[in-house]
Amino acid sequence: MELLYSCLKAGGKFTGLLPNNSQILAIQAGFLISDDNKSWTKPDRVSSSVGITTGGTGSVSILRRTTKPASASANDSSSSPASFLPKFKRLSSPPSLTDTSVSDTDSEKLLSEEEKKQKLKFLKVEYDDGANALDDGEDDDVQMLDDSELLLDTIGAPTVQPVQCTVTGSKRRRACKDCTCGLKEIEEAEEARQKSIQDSMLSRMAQSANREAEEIEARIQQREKAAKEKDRKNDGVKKTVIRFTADDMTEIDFTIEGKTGGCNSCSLGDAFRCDSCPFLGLPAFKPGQVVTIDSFGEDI
Amino acid sequence: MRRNLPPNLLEHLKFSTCGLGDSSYAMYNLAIRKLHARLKQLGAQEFVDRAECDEQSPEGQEAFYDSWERLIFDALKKKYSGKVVEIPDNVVLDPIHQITIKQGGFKKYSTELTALERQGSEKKLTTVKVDSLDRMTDPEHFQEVLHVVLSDDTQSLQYAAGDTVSLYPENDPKDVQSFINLQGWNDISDYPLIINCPDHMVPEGGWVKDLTLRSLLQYHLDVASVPPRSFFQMAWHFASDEREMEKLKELGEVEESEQLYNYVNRPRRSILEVIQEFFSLRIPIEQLLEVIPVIKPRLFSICNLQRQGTVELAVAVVEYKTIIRRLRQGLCTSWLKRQKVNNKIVVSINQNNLKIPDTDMVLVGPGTGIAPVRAIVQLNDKMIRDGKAGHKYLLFTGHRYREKDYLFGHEWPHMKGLRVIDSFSRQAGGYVQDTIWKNKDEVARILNNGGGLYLCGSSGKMPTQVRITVEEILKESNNWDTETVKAELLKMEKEKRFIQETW
Repeated sequence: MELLYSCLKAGGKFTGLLPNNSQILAIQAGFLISDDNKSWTKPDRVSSSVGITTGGTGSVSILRRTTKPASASANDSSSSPASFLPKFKRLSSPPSLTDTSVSDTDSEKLLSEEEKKQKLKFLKVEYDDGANALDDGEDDDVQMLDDSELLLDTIGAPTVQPVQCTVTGSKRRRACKDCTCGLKEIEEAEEARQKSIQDSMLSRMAQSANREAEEIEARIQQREKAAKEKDRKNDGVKKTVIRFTADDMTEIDFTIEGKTGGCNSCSLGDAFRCDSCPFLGLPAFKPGQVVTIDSFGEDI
Repeated sequence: MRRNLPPNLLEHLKFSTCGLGDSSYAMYNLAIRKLHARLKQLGAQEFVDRAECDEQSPEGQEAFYDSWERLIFDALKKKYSGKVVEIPDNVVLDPIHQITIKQGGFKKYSTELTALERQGSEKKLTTVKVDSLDRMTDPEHFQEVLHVVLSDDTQSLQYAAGDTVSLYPENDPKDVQSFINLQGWNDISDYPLIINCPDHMVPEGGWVKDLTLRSLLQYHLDVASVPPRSFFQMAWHFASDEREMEKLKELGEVEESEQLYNYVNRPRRSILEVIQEFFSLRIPIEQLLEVIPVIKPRLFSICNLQRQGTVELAVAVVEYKTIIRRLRQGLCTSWLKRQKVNNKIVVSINQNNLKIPDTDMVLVGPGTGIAPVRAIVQLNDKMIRDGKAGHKYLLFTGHRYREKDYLFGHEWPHMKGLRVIDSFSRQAGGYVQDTIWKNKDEVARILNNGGGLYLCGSSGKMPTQVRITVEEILKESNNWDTETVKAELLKMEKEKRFIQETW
């Protein structure tokens, strides 16, 4: 196929009874395939002489990598007419432009302005054609690549691994959406425990005879009653409710002026609270203040 | 992708790709693999290793992206050594959106806001009236599903079975006022506000007309959403308290993913709730749109046949509890529930160009997956009633209790050309895949005679289970081996006879 390609002039056409199964090979060699697959065309490109002279003028802005080692590049233009783009000699002293002075061990080729323009023009034209064709909602006049032609196996598996959480060293535990391993239950039990601690705490606060706090107390009791009834309905399966003594509560009741908890962070938001803070899940508040219903939101 | 491009078209390009995805979907990251393979075929050279993010991994998608970003930065630094200037992390870049408030000499707008007029987007919006918002499930049932009926007086809404409607949810005005109070913006919240930004940064559906800080907060800034890591990466610059600044910065660090997860993702904490706890955080107005994400429209399948300018939706209400005391509510859910009958809202139609096979069909629509299925069933019913050739449809529904959440169950007996096989999972009825298997002969008859299958519902296990069941049925009825049945199913998908719509 490569030989066939190199035999043709730029713009040359290869026609006849072309086999359908060789299209990928033809594309790989550099041919443009006509939409009806009746002809393969060698793309008409800028002639190499033009490329070299303008390349030498030094208005360089694109770097191009070639697969050949730098030493071979001097012969490129003569030895491989197969390439549809002109190739250039590496300049003995590169123009002092940012891109070209880059230290890179790869052998790189420079595209001239002219060549860049040609390439862009080609891309632009092709792109526009494609877009218009797609707009019609008909794919007939543009041949689309079949997924099987993409040779997806050739790209290899991705190697990039996620950044690990290095601070705790542990993997993030997360119950899946439809968890069956029990993690979800553990999470729920933790949250239920937290809530019952807070309920006790809030009931305790209610004893400071604040009207709003009384409302909280009433709502908690109402909910507990409803929950008990529900438990009774559900075949008597009972959920454990943790109750705290008055002594326990003085430890965590911060409506007592001056008390902020052992770590001094309980009154701050969850971001600052310890893992076992009884206030987790409640809003931040000012120490010594009675917390209002409003700051808890409407769903205590 | 176009076939006739020369293989060295992109020879001058270096590239790498990073795909976003979720491995609970069978085809996850396929698009990026295709793109990557094509770029390589066209001669482009890989710059650094490619990455595929997986939301299902314990670390989440961002952790993959961060790894990949480091590779890119390292490679760039190596390649352009001495030429790369690193921006110190305490420097805040200029905002992409230019926000100005017109105060001097300008009149305040009313705080009564309206979102019916929007501008700056190509998307065609239609103003519709809320006709009804009725609960479809039993009041005792844990899951609330709303039957939303919207009517369009101008009758300009054009849609077909399989199309979706975009709703444009809004924040609760109480949350907006709370945000304004917290940031100390009461004096400036109702003056005209101008945003200049590149076209592609205009949110879908456009900005509402006559913007103010208040309306920007109400209609565009997603303050009720769970903040992404990037929120913290920006926000720490704007906290004056040192302890708060440090904490915000920590939460934005990739290595602290566990802390971020425990603080925001697991309890589903909102941006507003974060701001309520960080007392010293004052977001500069000009940086607002760089710090807080914009509200995206929510898509719902239309569940009725096009008629008389009415659109019907079945919307599952999102409400749950976490460790945070306040009930968690979906943005769209709480907005819909605040709507009253006869309110006006804007919507847009998304055409999905669903081609319903002109054959007998097996329909599978568990839960609210029934929505687009209902439209397909109504279409067939109408055809038969109009004396045109209709088809025979075999519908598998899946709900929990016949009495509590059998969505549209009462309608099925009146539909022509339809046979329904229901299953109620909490009443020993099993799931759709079970009933499909029990009725394998009938399913096989339809599929082996050139019939189609349409499947809609929540992603996760259901679609995979249904697929495996169908594979087994085809295998058994045709004496196919595993390879053949997989190939046949792929062929059915290509011919659009096997259609899967899951979310």
